[in-house]
Amino acid sequence: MINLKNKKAGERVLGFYWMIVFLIITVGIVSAAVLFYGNPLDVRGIESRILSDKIIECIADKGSLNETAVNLLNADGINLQEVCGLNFADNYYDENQFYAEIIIENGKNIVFNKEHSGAFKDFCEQKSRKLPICHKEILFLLKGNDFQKVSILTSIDKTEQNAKL
Amino acid sequence: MKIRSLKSRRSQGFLTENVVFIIIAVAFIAILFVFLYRVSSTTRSIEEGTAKKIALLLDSAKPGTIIELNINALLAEKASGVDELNMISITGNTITVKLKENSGYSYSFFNKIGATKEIETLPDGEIKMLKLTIAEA
Repeated sequence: MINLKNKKAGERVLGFYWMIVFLIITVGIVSAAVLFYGNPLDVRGIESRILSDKIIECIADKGSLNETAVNLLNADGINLQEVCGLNFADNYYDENQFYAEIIIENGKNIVFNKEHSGAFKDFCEQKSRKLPICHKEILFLLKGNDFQKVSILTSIDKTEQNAKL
Repeated sequence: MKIRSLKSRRSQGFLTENVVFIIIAVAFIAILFVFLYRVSSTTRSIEEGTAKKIALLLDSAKPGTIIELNINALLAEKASGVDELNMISITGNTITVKLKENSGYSYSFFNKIGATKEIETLPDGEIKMLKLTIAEA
């Protein structure tokens, strides 16, 4: 008789524990879903890669350095948009959200948005959704018979639209 | 006789408890799935996701490219007052996706291109495609 009573009580306790397990799983799934879907879709990583590709298409021609395009580009990158077919205008933000740096070894250095480089370049090593996202590319392009090392760094802020502040 | 009725009452109680437990568990899981579906498919998140994805496609597109997108999911979410062709609009270098009168999401792309759009229905008559033809700006 005592054994039967114990069994019944044991089942009740087990049921109670099941409920707790359910509750913990639910809280976990709900908080994960809220965290995941509560944050905006962050596309800046892909955007900065595409921007980097666009710049490479602009300064490279079949594996060689496109000297015509490079010569056209000003050191302050002010005509980068014009030469490379880009448009950085964005009605959502007051300030420019893009930064681009083209460093040609033993050659020209082109930096777009240099005056705000601290707000972009300095955060490249830090991984945070609330900071601009960078992409760095190093390539070797033919110039005459020699290979020329070209480093391209692109960074995109657009934090308000891509990260929960 | 008495022992048998006691046993049957006990097994009945056991069965009821288990049935109640299973019903609660199924209800719990069903509510969880409904919640997940609702959280993941809000108009705002669909608009944002679509605008950003199209912006990325336009960023990497070259003049002459034709982009075709299945828009059936968007049409299912779209309010009746919003025109099919105007639920996605491209002004300058900004793409706007608007599925309801009082909503909408805009995102800009940096590729200097222009795009014309039209809606096509596939021969099966069920799938609608948004066709974007990329041209030089």
